[in-house]
Amino acid sequence: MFFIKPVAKLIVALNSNTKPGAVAAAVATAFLLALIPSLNLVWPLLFIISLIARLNWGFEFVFIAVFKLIVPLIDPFIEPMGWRLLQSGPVSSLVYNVNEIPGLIYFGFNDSLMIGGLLAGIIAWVPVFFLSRFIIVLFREKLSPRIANSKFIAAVKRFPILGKLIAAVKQFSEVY
Amino acid sequence: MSKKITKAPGIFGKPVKKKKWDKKFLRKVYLPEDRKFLSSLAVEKDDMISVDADGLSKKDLKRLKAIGKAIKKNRKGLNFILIFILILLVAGSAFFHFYLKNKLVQRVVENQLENIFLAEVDTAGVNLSIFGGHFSMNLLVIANTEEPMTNLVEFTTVEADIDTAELLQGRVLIEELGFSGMRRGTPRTTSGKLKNDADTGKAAERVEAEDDPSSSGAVENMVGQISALAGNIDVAEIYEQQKENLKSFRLIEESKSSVEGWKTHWQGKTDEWSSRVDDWDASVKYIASVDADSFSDIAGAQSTITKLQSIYQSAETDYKRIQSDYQEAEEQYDEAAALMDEIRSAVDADYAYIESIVTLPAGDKVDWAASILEEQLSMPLKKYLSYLERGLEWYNRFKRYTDKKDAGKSEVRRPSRQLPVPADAPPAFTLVHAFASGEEPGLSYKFDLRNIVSEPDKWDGKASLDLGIDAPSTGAASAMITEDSLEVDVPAVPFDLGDSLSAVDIASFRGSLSVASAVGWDEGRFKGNVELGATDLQLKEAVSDSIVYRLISTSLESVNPLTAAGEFAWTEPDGLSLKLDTELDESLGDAAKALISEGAEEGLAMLKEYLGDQLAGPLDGFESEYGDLEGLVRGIKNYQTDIDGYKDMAKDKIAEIENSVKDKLKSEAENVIKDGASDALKNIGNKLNF
Repeated sequence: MFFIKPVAKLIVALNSNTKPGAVAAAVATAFLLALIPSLNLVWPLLFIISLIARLNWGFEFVFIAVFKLIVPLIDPFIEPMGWRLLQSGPVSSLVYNVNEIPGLIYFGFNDSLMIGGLLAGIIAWVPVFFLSRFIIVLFREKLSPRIANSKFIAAVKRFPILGKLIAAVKQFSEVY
Repeated sequence: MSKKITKAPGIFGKPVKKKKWDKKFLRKVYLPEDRKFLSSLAVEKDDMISVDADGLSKKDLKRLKAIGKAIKKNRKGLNFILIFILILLVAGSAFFHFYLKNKLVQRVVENQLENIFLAEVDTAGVNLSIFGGHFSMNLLVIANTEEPMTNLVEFTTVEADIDTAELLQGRVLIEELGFSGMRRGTPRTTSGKLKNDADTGKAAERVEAEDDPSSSGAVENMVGQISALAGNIDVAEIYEQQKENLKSFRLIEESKSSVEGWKTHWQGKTDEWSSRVDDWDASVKYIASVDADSFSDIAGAQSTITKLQSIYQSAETDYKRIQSDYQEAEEQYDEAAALMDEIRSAVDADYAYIESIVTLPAGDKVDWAASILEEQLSMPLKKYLSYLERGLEWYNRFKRYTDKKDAGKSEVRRPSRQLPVPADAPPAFTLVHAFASGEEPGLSYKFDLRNIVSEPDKWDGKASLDLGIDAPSTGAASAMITEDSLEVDVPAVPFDLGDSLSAVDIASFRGSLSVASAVGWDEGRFKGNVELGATDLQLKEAVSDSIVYRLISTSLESVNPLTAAGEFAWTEPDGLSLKLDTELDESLGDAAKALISEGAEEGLAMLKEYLGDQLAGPLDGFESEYGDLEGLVRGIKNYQTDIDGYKDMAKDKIAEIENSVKDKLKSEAENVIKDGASDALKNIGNKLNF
């Protein structure tokens, strides 16, 4: 199964010696990248920065895809917010001035979805980061041992696909 | 033999200070179990921490090695993998710039143009200089979707200069876009049809439908009717059909029958009088033999006179009879002459009737022919205007393509809003100047397009397209298209319709066409007027002695040069509609009338000749009978004269005898007077008293 290895790696990363902050930052950045439109220069710039910042790439890629699926549900709230912000005097002037600088027009700031998504993503970055970090730490310290020793997992192991997944997780976890 | 001591992995090989142990080792382990495991192996000695791996099982030793690796990894400040990826990106960008960029642009250009033209598009030597703002191609070939084995157009070079500063401001300013070495209709070695292109098939079907003249049935009908009107008259058939309506034949028969009866009657009479005249020979000889002076006595004279008086009475009787016959014969002869006149009148009437059958139809009978032929002859004009239609089709096809593309975009994109572009900002798209030029044998042309702007109110220049065609043999033609009008001026462009007019017996039709046209347009509707002039028309006959060909050629000769004024309109659903007003209406009608008249005259002459032949026999027969009757009447008259002569002859002879007797008596009386006396005179008197 093609998806077993990536999923196993994610599970291993969740339960490995990877820094919880790197995983949490990857999730928060993925949320930001999912909120802003991708056909401009801001998106690739933020993406490259996230790569340089030693975030967990696996989590980042997976959560970008996951959040992209749900952002159309959030758009009706983000877009009006961005449009109101874009119409306000200082931001409006700033956007016009920025667009006058050669090349910066391709950053796509004159877009309600871009401004709204960027603002919402930045504001949400910190709470999403801490929430993700809390969940990861909680998972590693409390949930992971309980899940590993639970009868449910022992029963689930009998399913062929999940058995393969668990074997893959073991294979990758032996690295540590 | 001493026991082998198991050493800890390299990262744990040297003792470290407790502070460093906590910061650089334990804090870099994020799993509590691993941290607990590592802490259990730590041994503190002299404020230094070392890892004791001696006695660890293989599994624990492996776990320790993994923890060491994780600590090393978590300590790293730089992500070398990322640096490697960045290097790859830079190298990839360079590779893209020097190798892939132009191939990608080439593919994009070909795909986009194929979507617009629905045919294969080939390019070569594509070069895009992003920083220099220059784009060039060494070859651009667009296949003809309707004729896949030929190219619609071909350019040897395409060059564009784009303002990069404007491009960085998000605006496209094409300063110069040039297409040179243009050629049309060049052959292809491979088919230019796109694979799985249903639209192409439809387009081909549409063109075939356009080429099929819908009025071919009407033309055939017209040809048949013109031929029937103006030529190939079957006089025998017309005579047989109309014989019942011809009065002269019947009248001749009836008259001839009457005259024949009269002739028989008078033939008998003539014979009778001939015999009678013969009988008179003896009497005539007797009268001639009588000598009035030969009588010796009165009695002899008296006896002869009595006989002559009898002959005279007989002559008188015959004369009265023959005079009566002659009067009767003359009356019948007059009657026959009246019949002759009546026959002549009937023949004249029949000729007039025949003439009325083949005489010229009313003018409106040829109007339909004029309109159908005008439709055929306006084909070169329509062909010219079809270029406009085709151009508009291309425009609409392009518009549909861009609209569809825009619609597709809005479906994919998440809806958003943008601040309006400042009023003083330059237009988003500006094409300052585009040109194309090309040459064909005997023909060169150029296109000059200026000031195509997305927001025209923000640009000083007016949009225009200047088309120029220069043919050394015919002169230059031009067209100027502005935002709301089109003006075309074509002094003379040769055209050759080939055998497309074979339906009207024209094997080839060529000449020169001049066009002056003005077109205006609003939303989706184009309309305008056109003035056309066709000169140097050369026609070739497809069928020898074709009436229709003569009709057309005569008509065209009479209106040379042929001019036409028309109005046309074009909408996408209805296509091109053209209403032409040409001199052909009148000239063709006149020519048709003249030809039909000519044909009718020929036909009439033939018919009259045929009718004359048919009438000749009966007329000759009648005239012969009539002549015979006339001869008989004359004969009777001669006999009448003869008998009248006989009568006079007898009368004269009687008078001659009487005079002779008187003279003799007078002479004797004079002698007696001279010799005697009155007795003697008495005796003589007694003697004279018979």
